[in-house]
Amino acid sequence: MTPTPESFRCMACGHEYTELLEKGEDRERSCPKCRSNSIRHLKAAKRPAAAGEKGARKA
Amino acid sequence: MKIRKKARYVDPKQCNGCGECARVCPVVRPDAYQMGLSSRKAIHIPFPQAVPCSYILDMDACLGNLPIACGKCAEVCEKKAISYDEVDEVVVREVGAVIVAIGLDVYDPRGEDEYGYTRFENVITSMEFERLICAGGPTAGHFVRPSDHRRPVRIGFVQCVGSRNPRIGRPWCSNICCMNTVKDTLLLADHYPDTESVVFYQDIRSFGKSFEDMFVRSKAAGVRYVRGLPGEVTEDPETHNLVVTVENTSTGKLERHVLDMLVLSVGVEPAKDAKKISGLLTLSRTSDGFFLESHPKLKPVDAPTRGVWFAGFCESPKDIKDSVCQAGAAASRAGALLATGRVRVEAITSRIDGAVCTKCGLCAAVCPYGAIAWKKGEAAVVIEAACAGCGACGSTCKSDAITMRHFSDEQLIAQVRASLARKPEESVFVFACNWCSYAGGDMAGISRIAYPASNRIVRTMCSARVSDEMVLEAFRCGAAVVLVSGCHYADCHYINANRQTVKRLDRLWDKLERAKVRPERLQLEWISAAEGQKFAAVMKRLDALKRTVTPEEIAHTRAALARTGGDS
Repeated sequence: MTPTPESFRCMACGHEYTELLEKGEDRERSCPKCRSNSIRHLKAAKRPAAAGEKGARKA
Repeated sequence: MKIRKKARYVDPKQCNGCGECARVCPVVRPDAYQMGLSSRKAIHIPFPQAVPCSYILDMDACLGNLPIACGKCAEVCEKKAISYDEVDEVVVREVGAVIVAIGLDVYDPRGEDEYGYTRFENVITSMEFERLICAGGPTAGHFVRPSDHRRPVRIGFVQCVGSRNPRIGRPWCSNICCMNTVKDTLLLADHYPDTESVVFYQDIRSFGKSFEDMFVRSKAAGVRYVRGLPGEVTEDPETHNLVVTVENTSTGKLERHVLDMLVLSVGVEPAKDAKKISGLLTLSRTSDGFFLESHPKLKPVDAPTRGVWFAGFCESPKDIKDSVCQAGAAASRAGALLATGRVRVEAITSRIDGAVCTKCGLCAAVCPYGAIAWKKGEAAVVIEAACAGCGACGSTCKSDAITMRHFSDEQLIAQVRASLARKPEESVFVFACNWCSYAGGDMAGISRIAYPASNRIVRTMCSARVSDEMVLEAFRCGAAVVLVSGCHYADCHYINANRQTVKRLDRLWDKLERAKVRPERLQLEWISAAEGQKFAAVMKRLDALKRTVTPEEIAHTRAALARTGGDS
């Protein structure tokens, strides 16, 4: 399975970083900078669907 | 428990092993036991020491299911032991204990084509070497190389093929390969004293009784150990000799070895059936794919699912001696349970009120033990004998249908309120799991490690027991900072319940942000029972964080969470 890049933010020191994540991966996370476990998984902001795409608003 | 007993097509009570059937069988197949280095018939004895020592019919290969085509074995069998009509039998047994001992698979070097295994005939695996040198092997113990059936004199062994290699997803040490190679070199030195053996290795791991002595004897017998794995293997097309280029990391020099045969010391891996078995028995596996024991030190043979034990390689790579030890321990543990005839149920279990349950099934989905029976459209039911009391279900239930005995929502919320009754704005509120984080706090105390006295600790059995509402209630009560802490991933005492904690905190951080509450005021840490220093360090850090929280911020938090009810 191809790993996808995912963004994380350390809630202790504010460091943001990207890691390759495989689906179903079960790994303890810690901040590469301060080693805290308060790691927030930042979900990618959804791009608004373009006209004609599934989920696009009808005019 | 339903057990499928596969059809043998030969009655073992009638078969006397005369072998007439195999002599007339026209179907020839590679013999898997001999690693494909010799052949067997469709009707065969799987291996010489098979019990019962009777023939078995490989129906996938047999022509006998088309009687017009063959049926010769049945014709010559005087005992009339062969029946083509036999079918698999499903045996139902009621059992009180299960020991999982499904063994291992051997790494297949064909995938990576490491060291020319698929290209050069004289590159073989350690398993093939075993068959070639065995008196019961395809060459009756005459050690020859595959290309020209001549005895090889210069033999190389490559260690860690399919082991300790994260690049191919196999970071683990297979444990047995080093000593297997040492044993093979001693065998060669004993049988063929003129053999020149050279071992290419990263490290030789010869721990264990008498193992170091064997290693020393191997070196004394003239075996050369080169620290470094081959960078290139090529073949002389005329002689089929192999040319191995390797950097000897002990000397820093590039070496070139001309060998008659190269043996790949292949690693081992979890059995392919492990995933299926883990689903059947609700077992967890490590990221490597081996079964996860209940506790690495205190319960190394117990599965987290009660009534299940592990023996052998399925739990972790180990040699025969360790496997036998574990099997004995597993049998004793199972025997002790069966001898009592009773099962002691945890006092701290969950209880579901069927009248309140909305039948959503969320609780069953998060239970790491599969201890909640649920069918679509029906209220969930707790299987108390299987419930370990982590509380993940209780904190997940949206309809308050689940009560955790001794750690109910009411009890925990009351503890939160009581702990924050005085000067909450000066408090760091801590939810600590019973097994690790709370014990980590104790460790800090008994180690006399000083940390700020601002923390207020509430104990839960698992961090997964901490619900959204409990965290939000702490903030509503005026806590400056809230910490949820639990066991490290590998130490979770409830298989993997603390993964639910991670998901919950991700949701809570989003929720706090939407309510315009600084999400950094909610923290998560994994602190083990031995990490008193980490506990103290976290408390110091959170005390500093607490000082940055203003009274206005706390007032806003109270108002925001009260107004939204935490459901924004």
